[in-house]
Amino acid sequence: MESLPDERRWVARFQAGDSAAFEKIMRHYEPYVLGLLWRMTGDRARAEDLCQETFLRVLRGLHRFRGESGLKTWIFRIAQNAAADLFRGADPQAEPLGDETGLPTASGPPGPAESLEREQLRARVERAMASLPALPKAVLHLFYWDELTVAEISSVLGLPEGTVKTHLFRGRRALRESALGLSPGGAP
Amino acid sequence: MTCEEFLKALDGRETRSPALSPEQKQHAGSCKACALAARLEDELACAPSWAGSLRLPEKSRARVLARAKRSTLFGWPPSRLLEDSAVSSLVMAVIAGAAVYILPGLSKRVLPPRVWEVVLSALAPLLDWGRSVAETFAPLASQNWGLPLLALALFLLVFAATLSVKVLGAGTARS
Repeated sequence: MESLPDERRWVARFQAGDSAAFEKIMRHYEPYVLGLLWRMTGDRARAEDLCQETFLRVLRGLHRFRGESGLKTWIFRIAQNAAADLFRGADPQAEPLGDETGLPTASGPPGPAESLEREQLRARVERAMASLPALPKAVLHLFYWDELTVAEISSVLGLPEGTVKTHLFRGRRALRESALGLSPGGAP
Repeated sequence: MTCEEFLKALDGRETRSPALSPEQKQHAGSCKACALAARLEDELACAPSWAGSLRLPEKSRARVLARAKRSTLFGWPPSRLLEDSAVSSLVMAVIAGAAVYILPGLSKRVLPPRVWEVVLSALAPLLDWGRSVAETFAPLASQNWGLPLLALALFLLVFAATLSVKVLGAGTARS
C-alpha cells in the first residue's frame, strides 16, 4: 500500500479548517481499513460499521495529530482498536463474527486454466485465513494485503517487533498447512 | 537442502519478495511440496490485487464527511492552530510581562552606571511612549479586576495577532 502522497500537507490543511483534505485522506485509506476490518470480523456489514467508526475516531483525533508516527500506521492502529473494542465483549471462541470465508477474490488476466487454478488457490488461502486466530490473521493481513513492514505492524498492533516476526513465521506455517495441507516438514 | 530448511527460510523472511536463491530454486525443482509452498508465497506477494478496491457505501462515507465539514466549520474540537496560537500567546505574554517588571531593575543592577545612562538616553523616546500608554490605563489598573482585565486584553491582542499570522501561513501553504 502506498502512503498518501504529501500526507503532512493534507493533515496541515485539515488542521487549518479544510474539510476537503479529510475527504482526500479518507478516500485514500478507506479500502485498506475496510479490508482489514472485513478480515478481522469476517462480516462485510460489521466491517463497514467499524470502518465508519474508525474514520469518525480519525476525525476526532486528526486535529491533534502531530505526525510522530506515520498517518498510515496511526489510522490502522485506530481501526485495530475499533475491532478490539468489538471483540472485547465477545466470546473469543466465536471469532470470526461472520460466516463469510473472507475477502472476495478477483480473477486476473491469465488464461482460463491458470486463472482457475489461481482462483482455487486464493479461495483456499481465504478459507485458511478465516480459520486463523485473530493475531496471526491480523499480522498476515497487514503484511501481505496492506504491505506494511514488520516495524509498521509492530506500531499498529503495539507489539514488539520480535513478537510480530514470530506471529508472521507461525502464521505463514499455519496458513500453508491449512491451505495446502502441507505438514511443517513439507510432506503433503 | 532439506524440505525443513527450505520452509524455515521461506517462513522466516521479512520481505514479500518471492525471489528464491539458486539453492532454493534447485530444491523446489526437485520437491513438489516445496514448489507448491513457493507458489503460495508468490501468490501471497500479489495479495493486494486480489480483492480489487473495496469501498464503503456512499451513505456511510457521506455521514463521516458531513461530520468533518461541521467539525471544520465550527472549529470544534479546537484545531491545532487555535491551540498553538493560545500557547504561543501565553508564552509571549509571560515573557513580555517578565521583561517589563524584571528587566529594568536587573539591567540597572548588572550594567555599569555609565552604560546604564547611555541605554536610558537611547531608549528615552520608547520609555516616554510606554509611560504615556501606562498613564492612559492607570485609572483602569487601579480598579478592582483592572489588572487581570488588562492582562486578558493583552493576551487576546497577542492571540489574535498570532492566529492571524498562522492562518495566513496555512493559507499560503494551501495555495
